[in-house]
Amino acid sequence: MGISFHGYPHSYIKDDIMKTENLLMRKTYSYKYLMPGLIIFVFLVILPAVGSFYYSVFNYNGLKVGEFVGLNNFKEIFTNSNVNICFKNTFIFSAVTLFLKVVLGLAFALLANTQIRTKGLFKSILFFPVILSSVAVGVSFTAILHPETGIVNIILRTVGLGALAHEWLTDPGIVMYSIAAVDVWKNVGFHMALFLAGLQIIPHDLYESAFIDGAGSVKKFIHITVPLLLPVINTNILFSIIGGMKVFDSVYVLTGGGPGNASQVINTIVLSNFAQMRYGEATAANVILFVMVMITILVLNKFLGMVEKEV
Amino acid sequence: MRKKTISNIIFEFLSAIMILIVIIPIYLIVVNSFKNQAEAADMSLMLPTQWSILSNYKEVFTQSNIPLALYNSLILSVFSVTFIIIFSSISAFIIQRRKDKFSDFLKKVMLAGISIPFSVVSTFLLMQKLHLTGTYFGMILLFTAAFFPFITYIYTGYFNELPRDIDESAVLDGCGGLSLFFRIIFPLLKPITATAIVIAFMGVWNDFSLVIYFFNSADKFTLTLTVYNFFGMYSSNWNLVFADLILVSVPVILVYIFLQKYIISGLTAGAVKG
Repeated sequence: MGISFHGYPHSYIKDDIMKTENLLMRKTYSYKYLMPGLIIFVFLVILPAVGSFYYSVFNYNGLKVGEFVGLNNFKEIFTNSNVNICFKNTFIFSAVTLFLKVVLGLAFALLANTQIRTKGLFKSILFFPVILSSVAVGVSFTAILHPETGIVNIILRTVGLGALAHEWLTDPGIVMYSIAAVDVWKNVGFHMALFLAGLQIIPHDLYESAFIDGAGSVKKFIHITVPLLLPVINTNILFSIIGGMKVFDSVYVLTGGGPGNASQVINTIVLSNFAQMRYGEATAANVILFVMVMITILVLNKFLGMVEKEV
Repeated sequence: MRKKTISNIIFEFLSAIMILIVIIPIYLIVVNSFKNQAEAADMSLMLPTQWSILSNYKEVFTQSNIPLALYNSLILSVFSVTFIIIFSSISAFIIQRRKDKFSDFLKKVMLAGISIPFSVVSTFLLMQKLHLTGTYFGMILLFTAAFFPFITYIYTGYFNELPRDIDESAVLDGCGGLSLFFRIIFPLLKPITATAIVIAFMGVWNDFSLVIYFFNSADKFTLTLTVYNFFGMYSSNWNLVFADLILVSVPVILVYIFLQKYIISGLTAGAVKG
């Protein structure tokens, strides 16, 4: 039954508690109640994920499993000339969005926690894009980032920074950073909200006693805020990296992987193979993504766990 | 005190800039959805010289098949969110209350489940075998499966805050099983349930990556998918494209306005303390 009741002084109390505990375990905390959700989840998420390892070593005739081809599908993926660029892009996107979401998310949360008059408005407005679909945001930003009529370049030109105006979504050198910036614009509010939630549980008297000890804002931030916020920082890092590696919507809507293949990421490779009915390659790309995500999570969990213990 | 005011002015200034960076694009979309095609092509921040609100929105409503898409989106969201909330809340309750090896294992499975990328081909083959491709029921199951781990995870965090004494006294009063959960525990979960509803509803309503594979045919498509298709067909009519994406976003905006105040408190309890 998992829980022991040693240490209770009177055995009759123990009996009573045991009875309640028994009832609870049998009738209320019964595993049968979690089965419906768990079964749906296992069947439609876990099973296909594990199954894709099996499906990645076959040929396909239409959607029918054909002959066993070993690791050929993986070979196809890895010898395809786009593959380097898609790994590189996935990495750039994950790294840039991770950095900006965590740094800006924390900065905005701290800003929203000061005594500024606009803080209510600030919080609501910054969170607003989070609720919009990435399709709506992507479509809007194809207009906003348009080289001629887009508002970004127009503003840059009017304030005399015309040299900074770019072909944001058609210049292969910067397209990935533009997509990352749009994603940060849309999602930084979510990370701000997580950090704000984390800041609420830091006891206020810690700051007061630090103030009495003569600590300034920077000292308070380094010695109180950061260590106590570490679990939340870790949550933000994990969410951001996972989202970054799995990115699909923003890229697909903003550029469709273009110009050429300049903004392909792993998940758009999956779709393009799927659309060309190359199901074996699509599955292989999926398996690669799955393995990459799992390894990242394991390594990150270990590492972040270690940092948390150190502090 | 002097220093305080200076830093306050800087903070107010920074906050104003950030608010503008978010608001200008949104304003741009809204104001250009009110213009005629020629004016919208300039994409300027100016107010329209000739307002064509009614004609734009009317045209979008008829051209992009909004009634059917709205019906589809509503069916999928309402049922998926209901399933997600019921299955996740009770699963989290059991996972958090039991403290044995299996519940520890399930906790880890939920965490892994949040990060698993969905596997297109094998899911497709499975859905086909079960005759679920392109059906409402199949999509609802897919959404339920996709959001189950994350919503269960935030509920689990919330149950850490809810003392077991409640369960114990309810059992002593003769209330057990499912009725204990739904009559006594579930009403206590309002803040986290509001957060979970917002997250799940937005996730389903805004989803693109599942519907583009599994719910993308002549009569099976969602509002979010119409934005993408409409954008493809009318990319030179920005006024209509913008009107379309505003129409499609209204329901999530309404849900957000009603449930907004719960989000931070819900996240505090669910994702941060858990």
